[in-house]
Amino acid sequence: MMRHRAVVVAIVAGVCAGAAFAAVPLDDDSNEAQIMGYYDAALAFTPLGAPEGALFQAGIDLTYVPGLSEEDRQTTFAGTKLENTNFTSVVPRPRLRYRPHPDWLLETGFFPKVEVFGVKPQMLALGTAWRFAGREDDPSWWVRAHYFRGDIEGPITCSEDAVKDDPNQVPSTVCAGGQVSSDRFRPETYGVEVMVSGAHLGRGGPAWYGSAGYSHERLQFDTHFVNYAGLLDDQVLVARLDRGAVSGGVSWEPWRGLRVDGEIYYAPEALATVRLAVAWGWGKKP
Amino acid sequence: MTGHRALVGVLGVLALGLFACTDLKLNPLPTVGSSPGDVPVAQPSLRTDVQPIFTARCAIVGCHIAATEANYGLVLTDATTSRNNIVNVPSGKYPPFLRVVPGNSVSSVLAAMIDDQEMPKAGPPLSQGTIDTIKNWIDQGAQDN
Repeated sequence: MMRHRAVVVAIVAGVCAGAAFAAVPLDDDSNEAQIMGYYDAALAFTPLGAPEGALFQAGIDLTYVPGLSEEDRQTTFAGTKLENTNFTSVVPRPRLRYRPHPDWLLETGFFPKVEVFGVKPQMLALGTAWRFAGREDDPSWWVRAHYFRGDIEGPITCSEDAVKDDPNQVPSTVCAGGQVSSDRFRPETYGVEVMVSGAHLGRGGPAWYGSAGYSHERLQFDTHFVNYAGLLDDQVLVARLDRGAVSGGVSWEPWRGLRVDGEIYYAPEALATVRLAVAWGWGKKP
Repeated sequence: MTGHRALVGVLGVLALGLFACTDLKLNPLPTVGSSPGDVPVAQPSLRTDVQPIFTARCAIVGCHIAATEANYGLVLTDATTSRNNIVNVPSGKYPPFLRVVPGNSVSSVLAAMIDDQEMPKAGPPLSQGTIDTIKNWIDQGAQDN
């Protein structure tokens, strides 16, 4: 009898847990989906550099993320409060490159789960590019596939300031008197793009490249907030977006082994931004 | 020469920084049911007159789109769900009173909360015309119509 009760309790608990965490699908044009897409576009694993250089390369990317205005941050969650999203203007990401063949490039980018800028980001990105036309030092064409997955945990829904606010003051009524939230933004992106890389501009000058591509984004936001009454607000919001994007930039090797890259990136209806990278290369150029 | 190139590089980066901007196109906050000119519907239907208000102003992200502890499990996404969740159902916040007492808006927590502007939390308060439409629906038996 006791065993039967335990089974019933387990089933009921499972059903309840399932109900509590049922994902809510968001419309593509909802403000929540658009803002998640904005940050996913900012974190996209773009080429950030011409596919050239030493056998192994290790460096760091820096992406500038323009902060969102108060007006933009108030349009989510039906305007009941300001979202706390402007944690940093610059997102760093270490990147490794491996060129096993002159026509083939493998890349990975990552960020460990350590607290920076008030959030705990954990990110992994993979990319591979294959030259299907052209030669080194001539304009050549590449196809590139990339994947990105992130899990960024932080007080996005209700910041420390928002929970301290006067409950009678709009727009913080939802957060006021509660606990600082522990939300998770979990983007996942699959993308493919065509790149063209050109010859160096002048002797020892920078090499240029450009790309245009498409990506599919699965964006998930898990809210986790305890309100003033001690009640948990936990919703799982899911959006799926498709978008095109273009990028272009230059790669320059000012000293042997040292590589500097700059890129302009534009994702329509999300953002235009710049990325910079510094890397060190070693091993014989394939 | 290298210094000159570095300077050009720094200036280039600064120029690129000016290029960075957001390109978001967000929707305005919901204001359905807030116009002072809203006229109350004398014989409202749940599906035609009441649920559209719930959909636009209550069943939105962060509010009554999914069941949570914080919203006492109240989901208002469609007419059937809304009616099942409010008619003769005890209020989570003000028990043992009922969310909607058919035929009696004065005793219904829903009517009291929109009257007192406790709800909706998002966007501007409902207009008197919209509030009266919901109350009329309750007073006429909170029908599944």
